[in-house]
Amino acid sequence: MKRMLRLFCQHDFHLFAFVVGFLAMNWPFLSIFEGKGPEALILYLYALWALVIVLLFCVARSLSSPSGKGP
Amino acid sequence: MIDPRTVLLVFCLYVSGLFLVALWVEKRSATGRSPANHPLVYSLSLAVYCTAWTYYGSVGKAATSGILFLPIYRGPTIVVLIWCTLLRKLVRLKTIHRITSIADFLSARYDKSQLLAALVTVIAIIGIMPYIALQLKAIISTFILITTPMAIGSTSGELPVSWITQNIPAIVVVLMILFSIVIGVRHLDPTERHEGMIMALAVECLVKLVAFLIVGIFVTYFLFGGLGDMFEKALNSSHRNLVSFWGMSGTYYATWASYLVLSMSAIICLPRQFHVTVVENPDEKHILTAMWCFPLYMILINLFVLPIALGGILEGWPVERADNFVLMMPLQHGKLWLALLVFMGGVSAAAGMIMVSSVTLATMTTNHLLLPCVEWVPLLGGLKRHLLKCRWVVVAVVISVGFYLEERIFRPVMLVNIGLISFAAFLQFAPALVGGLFWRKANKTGALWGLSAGFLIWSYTQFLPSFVRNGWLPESFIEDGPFGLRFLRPETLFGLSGLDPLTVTVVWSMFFNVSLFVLGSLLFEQTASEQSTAEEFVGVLSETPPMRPAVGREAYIVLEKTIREIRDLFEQYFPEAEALAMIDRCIDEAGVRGMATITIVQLVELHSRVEKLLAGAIGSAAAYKAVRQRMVLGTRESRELSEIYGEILANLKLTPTELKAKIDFYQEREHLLIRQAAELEEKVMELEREIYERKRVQKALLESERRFRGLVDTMKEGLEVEDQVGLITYVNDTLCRMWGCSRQSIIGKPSSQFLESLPACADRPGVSPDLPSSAESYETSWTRTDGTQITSVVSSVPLFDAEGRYEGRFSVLTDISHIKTIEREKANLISMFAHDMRSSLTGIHGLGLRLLTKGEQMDDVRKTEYLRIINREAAKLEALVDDFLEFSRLETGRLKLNFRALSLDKELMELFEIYEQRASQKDMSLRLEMDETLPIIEADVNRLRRVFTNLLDNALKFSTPKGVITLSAKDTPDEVVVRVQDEGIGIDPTELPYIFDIFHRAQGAEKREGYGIGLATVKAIVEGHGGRVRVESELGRGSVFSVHLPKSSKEEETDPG
Repeated sequence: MKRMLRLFCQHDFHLFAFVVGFLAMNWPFLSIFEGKGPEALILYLYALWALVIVLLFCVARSLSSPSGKGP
Repeated sequence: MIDPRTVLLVFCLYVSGLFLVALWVEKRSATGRSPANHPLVYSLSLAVYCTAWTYYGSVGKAATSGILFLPIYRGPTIVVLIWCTLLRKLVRLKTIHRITSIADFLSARYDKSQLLAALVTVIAIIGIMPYIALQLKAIISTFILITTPMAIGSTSGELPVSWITQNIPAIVVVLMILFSIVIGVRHLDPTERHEGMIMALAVECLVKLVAFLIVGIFVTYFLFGGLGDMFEKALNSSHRNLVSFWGMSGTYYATWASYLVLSMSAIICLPRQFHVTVVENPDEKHILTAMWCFPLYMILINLFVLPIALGGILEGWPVERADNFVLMMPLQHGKLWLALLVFMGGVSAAAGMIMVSSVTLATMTTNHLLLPCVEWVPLLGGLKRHLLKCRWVVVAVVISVGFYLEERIFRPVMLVNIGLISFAAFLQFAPALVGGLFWRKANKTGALWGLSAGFLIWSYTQFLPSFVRNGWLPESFIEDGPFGLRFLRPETLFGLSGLDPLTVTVVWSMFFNVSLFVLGSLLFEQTASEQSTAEEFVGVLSETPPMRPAVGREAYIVLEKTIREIRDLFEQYFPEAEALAMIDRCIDEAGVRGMATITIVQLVELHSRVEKLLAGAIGSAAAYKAVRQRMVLGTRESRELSEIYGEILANLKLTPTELKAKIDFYQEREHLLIRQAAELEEKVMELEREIYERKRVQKALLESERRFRGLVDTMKEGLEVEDQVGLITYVNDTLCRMWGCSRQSIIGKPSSQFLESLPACADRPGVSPDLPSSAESYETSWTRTDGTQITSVVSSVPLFDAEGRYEGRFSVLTDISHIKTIEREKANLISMFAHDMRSSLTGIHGLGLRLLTKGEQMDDVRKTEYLRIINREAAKLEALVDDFLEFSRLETGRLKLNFRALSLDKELMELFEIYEQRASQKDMSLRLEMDETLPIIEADVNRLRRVFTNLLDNALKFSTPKGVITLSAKDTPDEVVVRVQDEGIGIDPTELPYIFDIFHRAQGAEKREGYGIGLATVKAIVEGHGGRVRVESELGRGSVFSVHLPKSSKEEETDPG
């Protein structure tokens, strides 16, 4: 838990998540789901979106914790 | 349809409600309890990103391009991942520099460039116009739709006959202007924060979300059988491309990526978004809440976009009217209340954007276009006093122009496409903004070049083609390019075909923008202030403020020459060797060792070190004068030094007057601090003295206590101290021994209870809490746990404090058990003595009487026998009397000794011969061990003989049959030691200290003859000879009595009586 907290607090991790998020929402990742039908593609897009929101929630909570170094 | 008056009334009531909310918040914020300073309010206000474009246009986009509307909302979500760094930097810089807009921010970063700020403002004005047009179009078209019966079936939007509906564009524009001014620009705020506006915005954002979710649920679950049903129907129809990439053009991915990039930049670079996100941020901590709240808002508002679009298409409505599907669905199905709610949600989305955008533009325009113009044109100077009114005019102009563009240019264009044109314009801010935050070398020239190039490309590829649609430019401009130059065709600029026009704009504008930004920054050097600002902007989140480098200073001053000057100076005051050592020290401290040339900064540093070192020897004033006289700065050096101080002054952002005021303040403060420090120092010294005195007293007290404890612990008397309630606070070791208890078991106990708990504790007359103040002395006795009977005299005195209050008692317990024992033994002895005398006298008296009365009848033999008995008894009586006299002399200390020369070996030999016979009669043996010759000593022969006979008698008395008694004598350099050793019953160790006391009879000796005088006599006689007697004994193993007699003669002691 402490390790995850430390991970979420690191700016480098935020940058990593930013790059991964950008790539995951672009070609060629989208083309993987395109071939599996419209339901899979839409499910992927919304699930990924929800996952990013959950991640953002965790990051925000970690940074607002006493050991976090957020604003 | 709904009556236009009803719609207008609801619209006005809603706007009035928002105004009241804003007013309430502003009043609350004046008291410091603003509800707008809540992270949720801040997070909701960020949803101004979702305008009428989102509300209506996303459905339109979904109906025409499928899921291509999604990247517009997912891009911001990705950027939010780095808000911890990006947005925190922006907010912190905003707070530090009081940033009021994105133009202000870029200007602040790039050397306070007014040109750059003006350029950004112009781009913002031009870029925002399509966006405002979009919002107005949405409100106007939906108002017509909801109030016109023919509008739903009409594809061309025929104008209805109602006066309100006919004039709704003008009404909307006026209301929007009033709404924006009243809520956003009612007064000037130096911080450019509008808490009332933000709260109104948050309410609007909530309303539009709720309205959109309700209509989405209505369409999906009431008009259709849920998402699955709608998707199934769509896939089985000709509209399956709406839920898939399939069948899309090859540019789909490129367009998707373009939208993603545009939306990523828009979330910060849109002027209204920058204003709400950065300028209106009340607290950096709110970013953490917004980080997940804002993306959550966007996913919620996008949940039903695709279902509504599918619903409209499946119901058979034309795709061209998809922007209105959201409103048409409830209207078509007779849900007027829902239609009205949807309309108000749309109004909220559009009005919020118009309000914030117009306020932002008003600020930017007045600050970065109007005020510079006022500076340049003196005639406009009067406008400075009417800045607020100028902002009202700008708001009115912006909204009016937006309406004009809507009417003239953007009416046939879909909402989303209008919005994307604006996005592309604001994308041009991104390189300068991001580069300014993270790249130290980014400079004003690069920013100007990049922005200009990007804006030109955008204007050429996006803005001018709009004029073609309006007929202001010929169609050939798009088809063949200007002047027939096909490679300049706006939509396929430089031959970039196969992509949609927006992607072409994104690609080329970013290419030129970024390239020129980087090149310009690398080609031209930053000014000193720009470099300083760059350091601050890039390192604003670092823990320690960035150091401002010493820039632009050439190291041209020859160090060797300077050192010569310093040497000349030092040698005036110090010997050569010392002067050289001091120079070395100065060079090291100034950090210029090994350098050939130094800068002016280093020279000043070196001079400072020299002056400080010199001041230590000749005083600061003389050192200052000497340094100034000997080491004069040249013209260039003086000029550069002035420049450096000027730069420092500029960096401090202070006028010389302010600087002087600050220096005066700090000097005054320094004086005060020095005075306070002196006072504190004096107090510290006083305290130190006090502490020293206390320590000394404490040490003396400890020493005294140590002595007291040593005394009371070694004294023979028991000591006890009680407090005022009778609790024992102290006892010494002697008392512990006397009571037979440990100290821990005594301390803290109530003395009365403790004493009562002692076995056989005697009464303590006079010791009563009721009579604490009286001193008393009494005798008491108790039996210890080991069975020993203890008798003691208790002397108790009360203790009082300085004010006479009773504090407790102090008791001394003297053990008199031994005295009591002696007294008992003395009484026994006298009784025995009297009894023995009485026996002898009775015998003498009886025999004498018989001789007197019947002597004549007795024969001589009998008479002789009687006389012999009488003589023996008389002798016995004489001996008893002698003993009694001896006892009397011993008790009174009147023992008389007659010294004369005595041959000790002869004396001992005689005694041995006498006692050897007696010992053999008792089945014991006596041995004699002595040196061959013993010295002649001065002694009272008879009494010394009595000493040895007493000891030998005792040895015989207490030895058992077969026991060996040893009489030994040893000559030592100072004395002669005579020992009598037996193997008898021995003496209890507890009795040893009392064995030489008079009348003391050892335990077990009661049945044996004697009065307890013998050993006391021995001790008295030996001490009378100046010697000493010692005893060593072990119970059951025997005893050794040693008589130490000095060799030197002793003066005869005479009886004083």
